[in-house]
Amino acid sequence: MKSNLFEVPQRQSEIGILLIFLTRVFNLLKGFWAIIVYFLFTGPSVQTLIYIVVGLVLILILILVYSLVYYRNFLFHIDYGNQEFVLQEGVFNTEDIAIPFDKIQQVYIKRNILQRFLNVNSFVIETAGSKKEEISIKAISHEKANQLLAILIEVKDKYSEKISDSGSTEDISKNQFWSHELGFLTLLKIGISTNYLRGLVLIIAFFTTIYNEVRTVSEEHSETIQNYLRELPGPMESVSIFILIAVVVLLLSILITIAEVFIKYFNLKLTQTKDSLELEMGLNTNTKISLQPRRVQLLQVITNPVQKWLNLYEVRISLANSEDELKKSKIKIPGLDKATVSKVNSFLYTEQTSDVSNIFSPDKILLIRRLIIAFVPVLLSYFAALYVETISITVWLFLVGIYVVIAVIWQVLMFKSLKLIISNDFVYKKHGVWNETEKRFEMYKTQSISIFQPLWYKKKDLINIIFHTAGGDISFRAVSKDILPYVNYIFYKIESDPRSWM
Amino acid sequence: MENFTNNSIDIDTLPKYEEVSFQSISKAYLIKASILNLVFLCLAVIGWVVLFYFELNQLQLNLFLVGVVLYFGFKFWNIIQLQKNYGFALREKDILYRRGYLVNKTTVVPFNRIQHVSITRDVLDKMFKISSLKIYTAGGSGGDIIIPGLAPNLAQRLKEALAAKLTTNEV
Repeated sequence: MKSNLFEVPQRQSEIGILLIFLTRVFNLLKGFWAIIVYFLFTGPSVQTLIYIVVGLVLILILILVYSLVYYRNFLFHIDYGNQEFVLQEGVFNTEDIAIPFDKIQQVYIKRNILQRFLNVNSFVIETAGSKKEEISIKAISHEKANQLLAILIEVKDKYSEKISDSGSTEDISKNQFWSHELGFLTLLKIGISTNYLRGLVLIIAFFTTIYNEVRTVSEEHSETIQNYLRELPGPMESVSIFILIAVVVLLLSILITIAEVFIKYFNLKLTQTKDSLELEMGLNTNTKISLQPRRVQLLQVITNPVQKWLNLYEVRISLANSEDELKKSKIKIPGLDKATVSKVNSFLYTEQTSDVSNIFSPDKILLIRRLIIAFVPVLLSYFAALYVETISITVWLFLVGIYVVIAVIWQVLMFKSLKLIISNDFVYKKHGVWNETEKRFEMYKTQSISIFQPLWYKKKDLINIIFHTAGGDISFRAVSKDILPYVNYIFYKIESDPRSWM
Repeated sequence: MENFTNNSIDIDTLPKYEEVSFQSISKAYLIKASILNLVFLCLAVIGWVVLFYFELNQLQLNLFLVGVVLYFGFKFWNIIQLQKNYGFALREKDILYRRGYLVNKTTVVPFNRIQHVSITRDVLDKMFKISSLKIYTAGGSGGDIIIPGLAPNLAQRLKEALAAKLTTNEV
């Protein structure tokens, strides 16, 4: 290091006071412009005008004082001893943030119009943490910003293990192990089998609108309708018209989904190279993604009975990506057959031994609670039916009967499908009635774990558990406390594994 | 690979997080939470007085009053229960934070998964000389922990201890 620049806590550029002031005033104007315009248009008397001006001046002075204090309290420096960047800020609520060098993901400089006008910069530091910008210094001179940027980039590269994005394109073609392409037929199959539910919803929406239209129209012109109905050849004909419409709608919705699938996943090609999976897809915007095993935070495999029969599985992968803007991206790869899914699995997770797996199921209390919740609409609808005259009790009973049967079956199946599996290196969660989903993540990539115990679970010794991963939270409810030794085992794995989680 | 071992692990001999004894937070936090609640209670009472002048009927006024009393009664009771349950503990390799009475929640963050740490103080915190320690992970906001009601020097010490762990763990 050249020198210990920025070692002493320092403030932003003095012109920063102006920037803070102007930004605050601008925000205030943005909030209250409607009121100001209103006042101006009502033609206020001289006296009220004076009041307003005095008020405004007072507010401006307050904002100025605020800006001054904010400027004075805003202190940043580099702590070379502890290897971290430290920032103190805040007027009423003060915050004292320290970012270790090796956790810095991105440092950059940016400026908006006002900053350009005042000749200052914004200096931003990002980490993999949940906030978008952990540190943002709004008014720093161009020279200082560049110095700081250079220093932080240097220390960041020095202290964080560099993840080399190895492999030029030539390498990739050499080390191809296998590749999988989605053909026309597969895309067609995906299109047909994925979103028929949406098609159904579309149809229902379509028919309800038609039904409503017909009702309002028939109320208005009941005579002409009746005349028209009399002219119709017979009831069979009108039924067939309806069926025709239904078929057309269904076909249309299937066509739309197929088109969507084709646009998104056209030419999908998955290639395994030596150290990454290369994914290419898309008709108009050609997406190219390189999946490196260490970046993968969470893997989901989703299928449903129809797709299973067609040998189609969808894989979703959550990545922690430090290179591209740190967006935690979720990648969807549909239409893989079972063999390919297991190939993807074995590539991403090399060290899977066929090891012991401990399977946990939720307690019955979860099912009971969900059933109770499912019955709430029944109760509400009963009161609704009592007050609304048009719904007769028999119709209500019929509808509720159907609902109850479906809800109970659904909840029982849902309950039965819930499984949490803890093996030597992985945690799996399986669930889903129609869409069978299997989520899995490597134990050591867990970020933190929360264990909940509501008061009413105490007697039964049950807990809820949430695994916080960089790819999202995985929760499992009402599980017996027998799981705790395995939770401790997961902590052991996280804390003893020297590998970095991304 | 030469010093690679693969001993089987007896899962029951691993350290148990649930047996760790927790350190409770400052009593000042109880006062702060109560005062905040008191402020809201005052607002509710003002609301009730305003309604009184708008001449609602007696029944509505009573209902409103009962609601206010029940809600704030529960809140005060809950604040006391919560205070008993706030606790944190440091182990060699992770930090534990426990809170909640109706739903007791413990979050464990291993040191090698912490992104950064910050200390915050709001106006009331400054009055009662306490501060909050925030620990951020990459696991989304649910995985972060915010420990309120720490004496400022304790918060500072914790923060420095964590920072030291963060850097030594990586190398």
